[in-house]
Amino acid sequence: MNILFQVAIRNVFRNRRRSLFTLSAIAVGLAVVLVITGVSNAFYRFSIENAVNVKIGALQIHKTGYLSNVSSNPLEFNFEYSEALLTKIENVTGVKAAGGRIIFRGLVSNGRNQALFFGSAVDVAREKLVCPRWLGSLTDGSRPLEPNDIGQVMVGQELARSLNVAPNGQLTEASDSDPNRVPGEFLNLSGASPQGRQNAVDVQVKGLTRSLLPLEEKRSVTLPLSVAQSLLGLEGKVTEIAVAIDDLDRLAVVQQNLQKVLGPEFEVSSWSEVQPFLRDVLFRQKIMISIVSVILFILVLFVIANTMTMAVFERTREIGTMLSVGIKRRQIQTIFFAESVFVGVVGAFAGTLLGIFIVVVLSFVGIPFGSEGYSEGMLYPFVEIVFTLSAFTVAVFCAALAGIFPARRASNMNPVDALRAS
Amino acid sequence: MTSMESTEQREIRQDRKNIIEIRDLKKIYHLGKTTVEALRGVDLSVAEGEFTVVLGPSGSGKTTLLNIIGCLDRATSGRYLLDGVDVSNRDFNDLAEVRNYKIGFIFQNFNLIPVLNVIENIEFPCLVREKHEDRAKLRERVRSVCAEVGLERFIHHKPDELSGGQRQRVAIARALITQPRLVLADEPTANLDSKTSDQILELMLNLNREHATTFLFATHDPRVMELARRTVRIKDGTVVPD
Ligand SMILES: Nc1ncnc2c1ncn2[C@@H]1O[C@H](COP(=O)(O)OP(=O)(O)OP(=O)(O)O)[C@@H](O)[C@H]1O
Ligand SMILES: [Mg+2]
Repeated sequence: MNILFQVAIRNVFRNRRRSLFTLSAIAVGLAVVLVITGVSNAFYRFSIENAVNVKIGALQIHKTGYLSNVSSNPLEFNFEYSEALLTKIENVTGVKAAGGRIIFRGLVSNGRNQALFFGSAVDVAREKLVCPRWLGSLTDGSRPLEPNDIGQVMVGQELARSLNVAPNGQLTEASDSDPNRVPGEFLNLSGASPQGRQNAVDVQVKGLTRSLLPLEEKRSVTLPLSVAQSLLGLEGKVTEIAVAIDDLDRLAVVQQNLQKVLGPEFEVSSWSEVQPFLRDVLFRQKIMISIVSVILFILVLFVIANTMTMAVFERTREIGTMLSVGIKRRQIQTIFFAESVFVGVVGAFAGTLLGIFIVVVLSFVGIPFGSEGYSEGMLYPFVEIVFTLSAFTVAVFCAALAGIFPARRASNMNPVDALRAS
Repeated sequence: MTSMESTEQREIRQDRKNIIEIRDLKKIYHLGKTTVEALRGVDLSVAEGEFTVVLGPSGSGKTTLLNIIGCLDRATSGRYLLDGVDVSNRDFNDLAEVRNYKIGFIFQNFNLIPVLNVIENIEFPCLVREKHEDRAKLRERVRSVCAEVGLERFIHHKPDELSGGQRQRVAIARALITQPRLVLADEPTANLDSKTSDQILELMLNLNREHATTFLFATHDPRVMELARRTVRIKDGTVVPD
């Protein structure tokens, strides 16, 4: 081996304690980056699957113009909910299931109090296929809507609490604060047709839904499609069709094909277009993780630069000696640079193993997530191989970068001063 | 230029080439606002194969002079020819080559590379050359130099496993391995007891005799003077006439 590398590597081993410290700084930094990325990936996947499987569906079909008018009068963009249309949609490759919905706003009353609600009227039999976990989680004593239910609804548990209703009029944890107030089980929903004609319907509370989002618990009412159609004067119509697909990674392709089949009369949107809020939250989270990673790498860089600078100062006389026997400045740089790269590679290797180990363990154990009672709220961290390799490379690169300045410093020493150093 | 030398020595000097030619060499250090004149116009010639002792009290400028001669430092003014070549305007890497090929250093505190063993320390100057000889062949030479300085039994020891005298032998071997034109020894015996000092000095005198290697030996120990064939006295940065 080249004598310079021999000197470099032996110095790494000579200063075992310091090398170990530097090495663990790199290893821990890299492992932390891998773990937080793994957890973030899990959260990302969880959020998307949650969105796709619980509420939104992978793709949504609306009449063109719906999304840009969703805040003014979405009901105007209703369309015929026909078997023919569903068949057309379900014949597109990659589509798993499709089901119609009417999303609307209305007022709900228990006879004394009134509240605003957001209604999701669904084709129950189909919705179960489109969003496998369509109701999210239910409170104890609740039963989900069934395809044959008429006049029964699911209500967000906060909304139910404020209107003092419960399935079968049972006392629940939500209402037992005042035993005199026996909860009811019937509600009156009112809404307006696209033309503005007011209408109302009595419904029975069949179950209470819970959500990770407080606003949903306070506002959401899920009801059979037929109930909403007669309430809103939209018999045989829907305002959206949600579509489940076989493979989320092929979302864009299926979206394109669907759009082609349906033509310009309809707009096909993905979950991220329908829920830009969620997309932005996830995006912001990714940015945060990236910033944290960059900061960690910079910290690691400083640790290495610091220890290497210490090494240079300690070995000043040795540098003077080497200069006196006629070593070139570049060769001194090589020695110190090689030392930090060596420590960097070993540290990055250890960090990668450590990080992968932790991520794998967590991916088996799972991290409980969300509030109590959400059995599905588990994160299973994972990291991609490409990311792991790039993180490894960046760590080594940081070590190399950190080595440059001390190596320069070493090589720029004046031989006489270096020899005089004690 | 004054020195004590035998007629025989003077004759040698006359028909041999000068390795060192110094005229009116000055070195001024600036320390903040004050200046230190470490060398105030030194004249010195050293011929090939000479063993010259530079004798002077502490602070007289011996190290300063040797560093300039060894191309580790530059003079403030004056003329210096090494082996007939003016090296005062060379860049750092050129000077590194000059040091590597033409000069061997022996220091007071040995200055060995701690992570390298005896053999590796000795071969180091040859190995850092752009094109170094075959390592096996080099090892041969290292072994014979080791034998010459009496280190055969210690070739695999690290510097911190050696006594002071042994370390200085390693340094001597390292200075000789490149077969330099000039060996500069800056108080090489100052950190050794008197018996070891004598042995080291004896070794250098022998090497000078057998290989005609030129030695310039700085010391403040007047005892060394007795053994040397030529002594140059230096005081307050100038050479003192006898
Ligand atoms: N780098 C420097 N900066 C300032 N002054 C210096 C420097 N090096 C040497 N000197 C001064 O130059 C003078 C000569 O120093 P030098 O080291 O050459 O003496 P020396 O003869 O080798 O002494 P010693 O026997 O103690 O080694 C001294 O006064 C010293 O203080
Ligand atoms: Mg000195």
